[in-house]
Amino acid sequence: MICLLSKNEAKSLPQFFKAMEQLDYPKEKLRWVWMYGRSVDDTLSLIQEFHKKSSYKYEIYEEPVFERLLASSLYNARLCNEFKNLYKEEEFVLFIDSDVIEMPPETLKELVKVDKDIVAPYPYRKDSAGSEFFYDTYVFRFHGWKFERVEYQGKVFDYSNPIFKDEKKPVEIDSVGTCFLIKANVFLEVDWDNPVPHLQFCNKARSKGFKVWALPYLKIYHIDATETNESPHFPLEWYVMRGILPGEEMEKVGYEKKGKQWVLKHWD
Amino acid sequence: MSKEQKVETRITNQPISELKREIADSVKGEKNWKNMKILWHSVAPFVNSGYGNVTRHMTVGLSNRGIPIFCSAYWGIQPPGLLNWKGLYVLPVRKTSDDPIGLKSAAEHYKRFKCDLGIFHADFWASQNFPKLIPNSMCYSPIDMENYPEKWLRILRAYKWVAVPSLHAQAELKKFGVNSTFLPHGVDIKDYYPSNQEQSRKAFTLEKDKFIIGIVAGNNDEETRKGWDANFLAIKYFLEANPDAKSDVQVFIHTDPTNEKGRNLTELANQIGVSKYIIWNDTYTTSVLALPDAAMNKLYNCFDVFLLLSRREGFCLPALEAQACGVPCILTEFSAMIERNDYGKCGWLIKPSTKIYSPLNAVTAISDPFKGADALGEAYNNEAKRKMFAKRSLAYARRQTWDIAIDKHFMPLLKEIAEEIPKLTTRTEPKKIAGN
Repeated sequence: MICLLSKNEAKSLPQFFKAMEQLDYPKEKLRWVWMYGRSVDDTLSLIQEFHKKSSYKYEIYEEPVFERLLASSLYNARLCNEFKNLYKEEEFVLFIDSDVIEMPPETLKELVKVDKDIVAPYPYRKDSAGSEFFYDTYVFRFHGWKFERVEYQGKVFDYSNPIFKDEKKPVEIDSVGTCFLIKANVFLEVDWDNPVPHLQFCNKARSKGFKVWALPYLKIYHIDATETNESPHFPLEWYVMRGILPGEEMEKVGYEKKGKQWVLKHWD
Repeated sequence: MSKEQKVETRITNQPISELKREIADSVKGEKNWKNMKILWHSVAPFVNSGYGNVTRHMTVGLSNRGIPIFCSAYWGIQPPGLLNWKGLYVLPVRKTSDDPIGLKSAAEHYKRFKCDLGIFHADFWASQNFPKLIPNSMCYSPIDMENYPEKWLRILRAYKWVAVPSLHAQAELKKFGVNSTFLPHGVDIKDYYPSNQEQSRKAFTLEKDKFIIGIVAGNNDEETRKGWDANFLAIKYFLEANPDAKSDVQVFIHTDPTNEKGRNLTELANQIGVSKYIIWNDTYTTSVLALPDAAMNKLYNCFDVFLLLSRREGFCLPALEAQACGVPCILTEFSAMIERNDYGKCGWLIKPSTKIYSPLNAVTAISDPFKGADALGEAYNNEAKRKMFAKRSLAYARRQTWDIAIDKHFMPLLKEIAEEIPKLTTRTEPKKIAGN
């Protein structure tokens, strides 16, 4: 089961479809389930056209009235949980952003082969000059460290040189996003929660004894929002700093309050 | 083009079982999309204009189908005091120099009358503040040009819903990423139908044996959106090419030829040299009293062919009314006029000689008077073709009634909108829209 949340993605969908079609995986074993958020562009017609031409099993659902897909993906937990009602006995469930535009053909096969509770490739983005940056620097975390510029045990990590970048084997980390495969039993047992649903899903899964893995040697590419003039996906801090969301939300995404400041809670 | 109106008591075609369930639901206080209260902001429903005509038929039509609706009118009624017009509340607005069409009053009406949806029906570019002031806003406006600048499109983007009366408009907006619903206007075929031409002409003291070219159009702008210059030039070139027709042709024009807001049409006709072929309808009738539907029906029935080489049209109600009377039309091949003539299947479409940028910096057409003259020549000389077009026009118009517009297009749209308004909706789960 491939779970997709999609709103105003017309720009990236053609490349996304191309990448998905090139996957070396039996098409008949895949079922695409779309949660479509009302869009001002051609998102819906592109999805429908793609499925008319392809042989995949698919279902498209329009978001409920009370729960709207947000561009920032920070508060989409209920929609993620809705996929449980649409689940049909598949062995694995893949959550993938529909603005992933490039993947090695073996991506899905490799994710299945490693046979982990939750597992993800490393998502990057490329700018027009060809420079590569780690994409999901917010949800990808290791021992409470975000995959952004940090100094840790004498080493410097930054978004272009993320944690475990050079590992050739699966690495266990805290949380993953963008594109990740979940075993069916984990998917059914663990709930998504707001804010930042994927982060909370991984944290909850770990608290239940499941493990989260990433494959640094498997690189996929997300569309580069800075190149397409789209609004950036602001982190939770952005909303809290502007008083749009209460500060308590920060606790849910790994922060603790020290004095007047919220700081990320690292662990060993 | 008239102000005669019938407002019936609420009559519905719903099956009794469904009606009973709805009544039971509303007694229980449960959600029902038909409880949606609408504020319609436009001209008053009794105003004799395109917007008045649409307002009249749409508001009355919805009211008769059980939807509570209020008219907020920026034209046709002065404050203070509201008017109960045959069961419809018509609310005046307070106009100021920075709010010339009373949008602030409309927002106040929306709030005080506890409306759920505000519909703006006029030129969308004048409605910048409407979607800002009214939480659930829908724009129902003609989009009659092409390649609008972003400045205007941004106004439409602010609305939650956009409806347009032509497929041309829908396609044009889609190019710029604005989703809209096709919501056509219509014609009342009980009012507009073919009747005896000789008797009709008698009522307007027109000669029974003449070939009559009819024009019904406003004269409200200096730009001459209705293409008065092209209309007159086409007539001139037609008569030059067909000298025998000079003694046989009359042009009957229903407009206010000396409206100060528009062009001086009597002068223009003189300049072009066609004034001696023109019969102007009585100015007092056209500009002050207006004609009721029954008289307009007789008027259209006088015509052999309807001519309107407009630069653009959002829908072109007079063409549809003429068609409903079995009169074929000669229209410009641009904007909604293409659809009015069913893509050339039931009338003549005149290719524009050029396209220009209008004062709004969007593209409009200039009709080609030479091709217009050719079409008039064909209408005059080829009776078989004219009659074929007349027959097709009539059949085409009968498929475009107000009832069809409301039942097939407006009611499903309102139901869809209500589903999106939390107060009225019952849908809290995802809805399957496609799959295999």
